[in-house]
This record gives sequence, structure tokens and C-alpha cells, in this order.
Amino acid sequence: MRRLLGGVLFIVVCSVTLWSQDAPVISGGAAWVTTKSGDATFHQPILSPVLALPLGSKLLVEARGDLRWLIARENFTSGSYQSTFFGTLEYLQLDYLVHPNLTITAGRFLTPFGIYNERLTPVWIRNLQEVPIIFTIGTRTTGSSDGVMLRGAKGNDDIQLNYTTYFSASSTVNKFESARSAGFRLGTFLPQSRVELGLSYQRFLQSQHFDSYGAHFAWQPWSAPVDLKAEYAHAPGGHGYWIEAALRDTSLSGESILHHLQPVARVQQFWRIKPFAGDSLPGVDTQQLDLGLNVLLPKEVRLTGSYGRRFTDAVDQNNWNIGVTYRFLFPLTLGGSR
Amino acid sequence: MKNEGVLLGTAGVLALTLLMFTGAIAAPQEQSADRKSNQKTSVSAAGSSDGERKFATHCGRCHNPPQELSPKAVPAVLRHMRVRAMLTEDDEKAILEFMAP
Repeated sequence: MRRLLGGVLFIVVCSVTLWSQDAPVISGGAAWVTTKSGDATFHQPILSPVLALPLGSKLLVEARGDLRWLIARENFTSGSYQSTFFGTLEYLQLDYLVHPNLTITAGRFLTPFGIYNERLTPVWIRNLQEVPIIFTIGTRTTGSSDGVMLRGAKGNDDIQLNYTTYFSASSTVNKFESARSAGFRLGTFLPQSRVELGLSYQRFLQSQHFDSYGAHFAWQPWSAPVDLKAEYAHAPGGHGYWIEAALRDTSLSGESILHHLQPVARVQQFWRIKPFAGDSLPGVDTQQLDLGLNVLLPKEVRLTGSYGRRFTDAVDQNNWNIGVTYRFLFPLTLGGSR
Repeated sequence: MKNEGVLLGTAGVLALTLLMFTGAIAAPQEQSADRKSNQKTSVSAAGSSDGERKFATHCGRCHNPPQELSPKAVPAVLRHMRVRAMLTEDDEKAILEFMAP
């Protein structure tokens, strides 16, 4: 951990001396989430800082960590409370904006599969704190990859196309664990209707070789403050989907009460095809319904709450979540022209 | 699996109710007519520039707009989002011009 922090600090110090025009930014989220899953209750203080460090006009260093403590009873339902710390480096990447339609990324990056892992995981963004059941499909083993990625977007005000392709090496280095894999994602976005569609594919190349594929959909109609998102994913061990609907008033005015209240509903289904070692998916067919309400407060504070009911042939289970999230963002104003 | 029907039915009703409640299910011509006015009202009162429209188009796809954002932070944030959210270069420039003129 010390080496990692030292390396990050070294990059920051070197980069600060090199940047020519734009100030680096520290942003991210902090949260406290309390979960009651079945009879077990646990608490998680979370800090997830993000660094965005532009270098000149073509380079960007990005990094995000996830620091969290799991506070739970010794046996989850009984015993004294104990705290366990988990520190994760989710990405530490160098982006080279070679061309308007091509960015080359090297380092550790979030595995691009669907939209959840790359865009919806920050605690201050996600509408429901629990990740979807199918989250691990296409993102094994850690959600992050170590290697090279090419990506870009091209289009106009009517239609935009985007692509991402990557190769990841296997790594067991502490904080840089990843699996050997390759994959791509293709997407299209229609700005006039704010509809987004995409397909993802991953070839897992570790001791097991297998394919995962998926599709995603998002829609934020102009005529209503509604946010619809859905993903489907398939892996040899099972397949499933989630559909999430939320109210989201994206106006800046804040006049509407809906600007401060955000009801959320998500339905999920997962079908187990066969046992598959290490896929972190439920062992049996599973369905889940989550209902949540988020309250947006001033100063980027948000209260979150949700109730979920998980249905399986074996046992049904209630999941409760309450928490508070805080989003922060500030420039490091040692320099910069703006 | 006994609850499959209930689960799907509940989800369907919720989604439909949500859409109907907010008026998302509207005639195409109404949607088209409403879109421009919504674009204007869903951003600041400074006017409806290309950058404002693109800000409303892209940034709200994943998160609520920031309540406060220093202009000094905008270039780095936008470059970050260009990579993360697959913004085109033109969209990045337009939003930059709007948020940090």
C-alpha cells in the first residue's frame, strides 16, 4: 500500500510540474451505508476519491480509489462489532487523446462491459446502493483490467457511435489484481431522444476460456424527468437482466419538488444455467425487486433509502439500505489558466 | 419462481405508472413540440446555447448536475467525462464553452 501511495504521489508531483494549462481536479464521493440483509446488519463508511490530471492538451491521468470499512457483528447476527478495512485501486490510467475519434488508454482501467461498471458505480451516482445481480458478468474478476484500451466516439446532433476495445493481462500484484481477458463494446446514442443502445462482449482468457456478452439500454426522455436504464448479460454459468426506472429532474433551476425527491424502482431476474466456479453469481434462479427513495439536499448531500425483496426457490430475503452520500469536487489551484 | 408473475407484474405496473405520471407517454408530435421548450427550461436562464443543450443532453444521463462547480475545474472534468462517458470532441468543446466561457 505504501508503494502504491508513493507511486501515485510521484505521478502527481511530476505531473504538477508538467501541466501547462488546466488545473487538476480532486473529486469523488463519501458515504455511509447501512445494510440489513436478512438477519445480518452491517455498516460501511466509504470514501472514493477521484483524481483527474490533465497534462497538456492530449493527456489525462485518471485514478480512483475505494476505501471502505465493513463494520459488522462478529457472526453478522451476534457477537461484538468488528471493523474490517478494504482498500481498492479501481483505476489508474493514462489517456492519450490521439485523435478526435481515438483515445488510447494504458494502465489499470474499469472493465468496459455494459454501462454499470464504468458509469454508475460511484456511490454518489448510483440510484440504489446494491449493485445488480449480473454485475460480475463481463467484469471478472475485480471489475478492473490491467492493459491497453482503445476507445472513441463520433457523431453529430442526431446520432453518435462509440466503441471500446481492450486487452487485459493477468495480474496478482497487490491492488492491481486483474484477469487476462479481451473484449469490446459498441454503442449508439441518439441525442435528440436521449436513447442509448449498446452491445458488449468479453473473452475470458484465464484458466477457463469462455465468452460473456451483454446489451444495455438507457433513455431519458425530454418530456419527463425520467431515467430508464437496463442491462442484459449472459455468461456460461447464467444470464439475467435488470431494469431500473427513476425520477430525475436534470434541470438546474431546482424549482420542482421532483428535483429533490427521487423514487427508484428496479427489477432483476437471473437464471442459473449451470454451476460455474468463481462467477460470483447466485447459485439458483433469483428474482429481486427494489424500491428506493433518494432525497437530494443542498451542498451535494443525498439521503438514500431502499427496500428490496429477493425471491429464490430456496429462500426469500429482505434487504434494507439506508445511507447518506456526499459528492465533492474541487480544483487543485496551484496553477492553470482557467 | 412462485413469485415470478407478481414480480414482473409489479415491475411493469410501476414502470408504466412512473411513465404515465410524468407524461413520458405522449403523442410523438407533442414530444417533439415539448422538447425544445424543455431544453430551454431545463438549463440555466442564461439562454439556450449549443453548449447548454449539450450539457442537458449528456451530463444528466448518469448523474444530477453539480450544484457548484468552479470554472477552473471544468476542463479537467470534461476531459475526464470525454473518456468516461464517450463524449465527442465537439460536445466536449461546446460544454466547456458553456460552463467555463
